[in-house]
Amino acid sequence: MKRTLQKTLIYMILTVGALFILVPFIWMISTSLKPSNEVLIMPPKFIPSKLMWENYKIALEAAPFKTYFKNSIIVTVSVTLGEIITTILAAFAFSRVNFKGRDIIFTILIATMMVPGEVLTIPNFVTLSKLGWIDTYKALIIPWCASIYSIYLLKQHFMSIPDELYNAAKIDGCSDFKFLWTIMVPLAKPTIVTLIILKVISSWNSFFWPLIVTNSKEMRTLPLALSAFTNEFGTDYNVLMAATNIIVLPVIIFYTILQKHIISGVSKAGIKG
Amino acid sequence: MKKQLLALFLVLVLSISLVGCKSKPVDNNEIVDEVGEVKEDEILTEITESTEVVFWHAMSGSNEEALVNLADKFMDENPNIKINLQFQGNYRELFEKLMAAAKANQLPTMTQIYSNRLSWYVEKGLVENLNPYMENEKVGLSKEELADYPALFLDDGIWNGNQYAMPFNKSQMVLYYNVDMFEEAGVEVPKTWEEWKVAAEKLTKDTDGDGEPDIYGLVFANNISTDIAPWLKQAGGMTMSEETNELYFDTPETEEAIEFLNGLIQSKVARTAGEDKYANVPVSQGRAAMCVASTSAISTIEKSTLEGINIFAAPLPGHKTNDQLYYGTNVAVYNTGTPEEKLGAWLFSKFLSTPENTAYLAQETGYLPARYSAREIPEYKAYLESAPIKAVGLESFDIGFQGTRNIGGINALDVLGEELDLVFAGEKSVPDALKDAQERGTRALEEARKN
Repeated sequence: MKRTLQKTLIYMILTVGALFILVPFIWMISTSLKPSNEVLIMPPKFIPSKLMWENYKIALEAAPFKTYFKNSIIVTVSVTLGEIITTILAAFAFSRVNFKGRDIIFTILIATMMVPGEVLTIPNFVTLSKLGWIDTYKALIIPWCASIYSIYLLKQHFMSIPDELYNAAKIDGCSDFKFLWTIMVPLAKPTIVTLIILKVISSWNSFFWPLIVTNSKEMRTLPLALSAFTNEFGTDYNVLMAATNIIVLPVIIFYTILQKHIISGVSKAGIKG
Repeated sequence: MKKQLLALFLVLVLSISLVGCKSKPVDNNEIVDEVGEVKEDEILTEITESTEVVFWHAMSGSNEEALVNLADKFMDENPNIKINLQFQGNYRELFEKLMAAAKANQLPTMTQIYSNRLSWYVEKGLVENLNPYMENEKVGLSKEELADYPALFLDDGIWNGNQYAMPFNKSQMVLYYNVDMFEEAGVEVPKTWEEWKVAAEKLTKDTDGDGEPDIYGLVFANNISTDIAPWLKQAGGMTMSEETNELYFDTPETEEAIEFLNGLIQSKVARTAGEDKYANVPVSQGRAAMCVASTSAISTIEKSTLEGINIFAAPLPGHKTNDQLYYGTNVAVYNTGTPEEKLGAWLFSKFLSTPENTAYLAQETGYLPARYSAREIPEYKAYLESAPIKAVGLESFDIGFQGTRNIGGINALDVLGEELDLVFAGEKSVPDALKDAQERGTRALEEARKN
C-alpha cells in the first residue's frame, strides 16, 4: 500500500514536471497553426478555430531555408569537431604534460573567461575583416573552434583519472598520444558528450555572431531566418512559431537519437545543459 | 608561492589590458584619414562601367519584398549599376553592425538609418554630402521636385546646411481608436488634451466591479519616453536642443505634459502596454478603446484585430500647439566608396523617393510616402480610397516634426523613461523625477559623446 502511494506520488510529480516542459512545445505547435488574430487572445486558446497550415508555407517562403539549413549543419558540425579536438588536446596538455609556465598559461586562459563576449564583438569583427574572412565559412567556424570553458571542464575530468594508469601505460611503452586517445578519451566520454551537446545547441542557435560576420543570404544560418517575422511594431508569432518548429526539428531528432548518451553524459559529468 | 604571485600579476595585467580594449575603441578619425579627404564638389555624373552598390537595410517580410522589387526595377533602368541588398536584422542589429563595420573600415556603400544614429557618422566625417549630387543639373533634383518633399523629411537629413540623407520609410505617431466603442459611449474623436481625458474616462469600464478596469480608455507604449516629444512640444517645450545639447527635462512645460500623462495613468483610465508588449494589442483584442502607436503598425493591427472590431486612426490630440511626431528612417551614402559607387548610391536614393516609387513602397509596406505628389499616383489613390485609415498619416505633414538627433539623445530619453516608470508606479513625484532625469540624462548625454 505504502509503495503504491509512493509510486503514485512520484508519477504525479513526474507528470507535472513533464507538463511543465511540454506545455511551451505544445503552445509553440498550437500557435504555429493559429490565425493571426487568435495568437494574443485573452484568455488564451490552445486549439485554433481554424488550422492555418499556410503559416508553414509563409515561413518557408520568407527565407531560403535550404541554404540556411546547409550552412547551419556545416557550421555546427565543423565548430563542434574543431572544439572537441582542441579541447581534448589542450586538456591533456594542461593535465598530464609537464611544461614550463603550464599553470600560468592556464590561469591566464581562465582569466579570459571574465571578459564579456559583447566587449569582444567589435575587436573580433575588425580582426576578421582585416583577414578578409567576412562573409565566409572561416568567420563562422574558426573563432569558435576553441573554448576555455570546455578545456577547463575536461582538464578537471582528466585530472581525476589516476596517475597509476598513466604510469602503467608508459611502462608498457604507450606514447602520450596513444594514451590520450585509447585510455583518456574513452574514460572521459560522459564529459565529452556533454561538451558536444552544449556546443551543438549553442552553435545551432547562435544568432548575433552569424549576423555580424555574414552579409549575403548564401552564408547565413537558420536563426537569422527568424528575425524576418519581427518588426518594431509587432511580431507575427504564428509564422515565427512555424519557422521555429522547422528549425528545432533537427535538434529534437539529434536529442532523440543521442538521448541515452546525453542522459548518461549529463548525469556522470554532473553538468546541466 | 612565487609562481602563484607571478600568475596573479599576469592575470591583473591581462585584465587591465582587456578593460583597456573596452574603454578605448578604434579611433574613428583614423578611418577618415585612411579614406582621405573627400573633395565634395568633384562628383561623377555618369557610370560607364559595371558598379556594385551595397545597401544595408532592416526591411524584412513584405517590406523586403517591396524593396527587392524596387531594386530590380532600378537595375533594369540602370544596367551598369548592381544594387546588392543586404538584410542586417532589425534596426538595433543593423546599427550595431554598422558601428562594427565603421571601426573596421568596412562600411557598405549606403544604408537605411535613423537620423539619431546617423549623427555620429556625420560628426566622424564618414557620410557623403549629397548637396553636390542634388544640385547637379544632370543627376540632381529640380526645384519643383525638391518642393515636393515635405520639409520635415528633408530637414531630418540635413546637418550644417548639408543634405546627408534622403527620406525613405516614414510613419506618424497617431491615436488608434475602436469606432464602435466610441459610438456606443457617444464620444467624439478627441482633438484636445481635455477632450482626450474626458473620452478616456467615459470609455474605461470596470465590468466586474473589482476596482480594476477591464477595458481601459487608453494605452501607451511601454517605452513612452522614446516618443515623449509630441506632448512636450504641444505643451510649448521640447526634449533637448540640438545646437547646445542641453536637456529640457526639468522645465514647467515638461512638467505640465508629464502631469497630464501621469494623471491619466493614476486615475486608471490609461495604462502602458505592460505584458501586452505593444500598445495596439489590447485595442485589437477589444480590451482598450484607444492607443497611441505608429501608422506603420496598421498592417499588424489589421492582421491581429478580432472579428467585429473596427479600428480607425486620428492625429494626436493637441494642446497649446498641434505638433505631430513623424518618424522613420532615411537612406545615407557613406563616403568610403568609390566615386562610381557613391553616384550609384545617390541615384538609387533618389529613385527610392520618386513619387511613383515612394507611393509603391507605401502601398506595399504601410509606411508613408516621402512626397506630396505620391497621393496623385492612381494606384496609390485607389489604395487610399479602399483603406482610408492609411491616409491619416498624410494629413499632418505641415505640422509634423521628427525626433531628436543628438548623439546620446536616446540614452538621455532612456534615463527619463526610467524616472517616468517610477512616477507611473506612484513611487516618485513628477518634480523629483524630472529633476533627477535632468541630472542623470545630462550625464548620459555627455558619456555618449565621449564614445
